[in-house]
Order: sequence, then C-alpha cells, then structure tokens
Amino acid sequence: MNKLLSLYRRLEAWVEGDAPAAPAHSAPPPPPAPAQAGPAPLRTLARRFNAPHSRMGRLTFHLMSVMACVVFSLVMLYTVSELPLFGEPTNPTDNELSARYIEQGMKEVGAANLVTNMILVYRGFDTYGESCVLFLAATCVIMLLGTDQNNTTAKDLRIRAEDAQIEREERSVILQGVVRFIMPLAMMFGLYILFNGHLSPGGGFAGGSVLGGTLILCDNAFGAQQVQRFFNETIYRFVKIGALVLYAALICYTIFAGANGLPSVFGPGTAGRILSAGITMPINVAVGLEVACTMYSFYAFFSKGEL
Amino acid sequence: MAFWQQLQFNHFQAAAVILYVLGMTGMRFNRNLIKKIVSMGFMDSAIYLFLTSSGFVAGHVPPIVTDPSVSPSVEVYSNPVPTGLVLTGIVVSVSVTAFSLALTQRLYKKYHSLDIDEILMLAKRGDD
Repeated sequence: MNKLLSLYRRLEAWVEGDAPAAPAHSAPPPPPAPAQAGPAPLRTLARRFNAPHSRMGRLTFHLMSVMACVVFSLVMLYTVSELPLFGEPTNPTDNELSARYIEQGMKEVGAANLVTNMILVYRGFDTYGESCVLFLAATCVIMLLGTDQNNTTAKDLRIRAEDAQIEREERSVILQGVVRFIMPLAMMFGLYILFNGHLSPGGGFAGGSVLGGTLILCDNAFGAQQVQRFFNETIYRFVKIGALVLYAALICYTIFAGANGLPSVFGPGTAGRILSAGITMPINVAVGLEVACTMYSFYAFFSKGEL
Repeated sequence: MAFWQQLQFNHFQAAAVILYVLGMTGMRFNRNLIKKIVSMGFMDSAIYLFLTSSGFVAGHVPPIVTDPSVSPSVEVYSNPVPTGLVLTGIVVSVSVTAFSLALTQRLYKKYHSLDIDEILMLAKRGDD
C-alpha cells in the first residue's frame, strides 16, 4: 500500500513537472539532481503544444485531434460493417428474451403495449432507478442554482426586480390568447398519454414531458405568480416525493406478492381496457408526475433560481 | 467491397457512428462549454439511433398489440428490448445535460466566461 502511494506520488510529480520526490522512507538520500536538469518531459511537451500563442502547437494539436477522430470513425465503421444485417429476424438481438416479452408479456401483465410490460413490471426496478436519477438531477440543479437570502446580494435582487418589471410590462397578448386556448388541450393530451400509456405509445416519461411543457408554457405566458397559484414549492415537494414513494410501494408490493404469477390485488385484467394491466397505470401516473415536476423545476431554477 | 455493401445494409448504424464521431469532434474542438454540451447531445442521439435500429425487424410492426384477442407472436412484432434501453438513455442524458448546464451557469456567474481554457486559467490564478 505504501509502495503504491509513493509510486503515485512520483507519477504525480512527474506529471506536474516537479523534481522527483524523495521516497518517504529510503535510507540513502537520492543524489542531488543536477541544477540545470530540464523540466519533466510531459511538462515540456505541454509547454510546446499547449502554449496559448504557439500556432505550431495548436496546429499539431488540431491535426492530431482530427486524426484521432478519423481513425476512431474508421474503426467504428468497420465494426458496423461486421455487425449482423439490419432488420433480419434472425439477428442475435431477437433472442429468447424478447420472444418471452412478446409472447408472455400481455398474458402475464396485461398491457397491450408490450414495451410498457417490459419497462414497468419485468424491469420495474430499473425504471425506478431512472425516476431516482431524475429526482437526483432535479435535486442537484436546486442545490447548484437555488437562491435564498444566503447567496443573494442586493444587486441580484435589483436585477431580478427589473426583470420582473420588464416581464410584466411586455407580456404578449398574442401568447396569452394562444396559451389560454392551447393549455387545457395540451394538459389533457398529457394526461391522456399518462393514463393510456399501457394501451398506446407513450407512458409516464412522454406524458410527464408534455405536462411539464404545459407548466413552462403557462409560466412564459402569464408569469410565475400565476403558476404559483396552483404549483408552488410545497406542492412540488409533496408531488415529487409522493410520486417516488408511490412507485416504490407499488413495485415492492408487486415483487413480493405477484411477480411470480401469484394472485394479487393488481391482476392483469382484460388487455385493451383502460383498467387493465395491474400496476402499470398507477406507475405511469407516478412517473409522469415525477417527470413533469422535474421538467418544470429545471425551467424555473434555470430561469430565475426559485420555484 | 463487402465493407461497402455491409455499410449500405447497416446504414442506420453507420449514420449513428458518423453522428457519434461528429459529436466527439465537437466536444474536442469547441472550447465553449455550451457547445460542448450540445455535442454531447449529438452523441446521445447517436446512441439512441443505434439502439433503436438494432431493435428493428423488417416487416414487423411496433410491439403494441392492437387486437388483444389474437395472442401476440414473435413473427408479427419487432423487438421491444432496445426501446426500453433507449428510454433509460434519454432519461440519463436529460439529467446529465441539466446538471452540466447548471454547473456551466455557476461557472459563468463566477468567471464571466464560457471558454473552458479561460475558466481554467482564471481558476488557477485564483488559487495562487
């Protein structure tokens, strides 16, 4: 372990261009380095090619980058030419896994959309991880861009007040009229995609994006105050965490009670009906709420630093 | 010649590779952080194209049952697995893009520049 550490130190020193560091516990001190020993080789290279004013270095760097990209693309194209033919039914990707999902999915889970069967029930924990990724991304954005009294100066406040003033004065009448007409339809379409995700293309992620887009549209047309009347930070937290917890509870219940074809409260039902396919519709709704909250929080925190 | 013929058969994958290399080149050559993130979006799209094209089966319909009375068979529907993988990829790429854009905004607020070299220089000067 110690040896490894000292090796790392030496490597670090070499990369940084310092004189070779003496090993921590060597009995004979190393012979003193000659005073005019040149800089470490990597530092010299870096100086030659990375200097801001060296045209030669920049040219070499660009040429090498282009070469690397061309070589990489050729290697990848060669790999593509060795891949199995596009669209052949006998390809190795069309193996017993996809056959099982296609043939048994509708019988076992009950959704007419076979992809929904796969991503929400067979691979439900994977999709739960995706929802957690979205949650984490939104949390990171809030951590990075959120503003409160600790990191806001008087100048920031003044700029924000000016922005709000300009926004209020220059609110577009055309946009407001169009949004007033479109927003209910778009929201209904988003809900349709959510609730119909197990019967048609779509599902939680697509429907949630439409819902989040509707909220962003409303924010653009009428301002944040109007959105805050029905979607403020408390509701945001409640919906976001509630959706994740709902998803977790549903998927855990299914795994424990019904994943092996045992009878459970959420049976497969009649395929093609709206109330079929057990847990897929509630999970779609939970995922959709999660995605909608994430989309809107991205927009809000990027544009003004608060929800 | 087999190389070109295979590429013509696998033209979606070839296009995906070219798109990927374009994105990679963009990431390499642009010093603007926003352009780097856009290039990363190119690479993400290339991956989606590659995965979706690997799920396509000629003559088969998308894996959504329109007539539930008929039991679904492999002869009719194309492969649903790559579609799910693309979904995962989209979610991850959206999250990564948002996170990197947030970091970029913070960097811009601190250094008033989007040029990565300039930011690094200023950061190093700030350390001293």
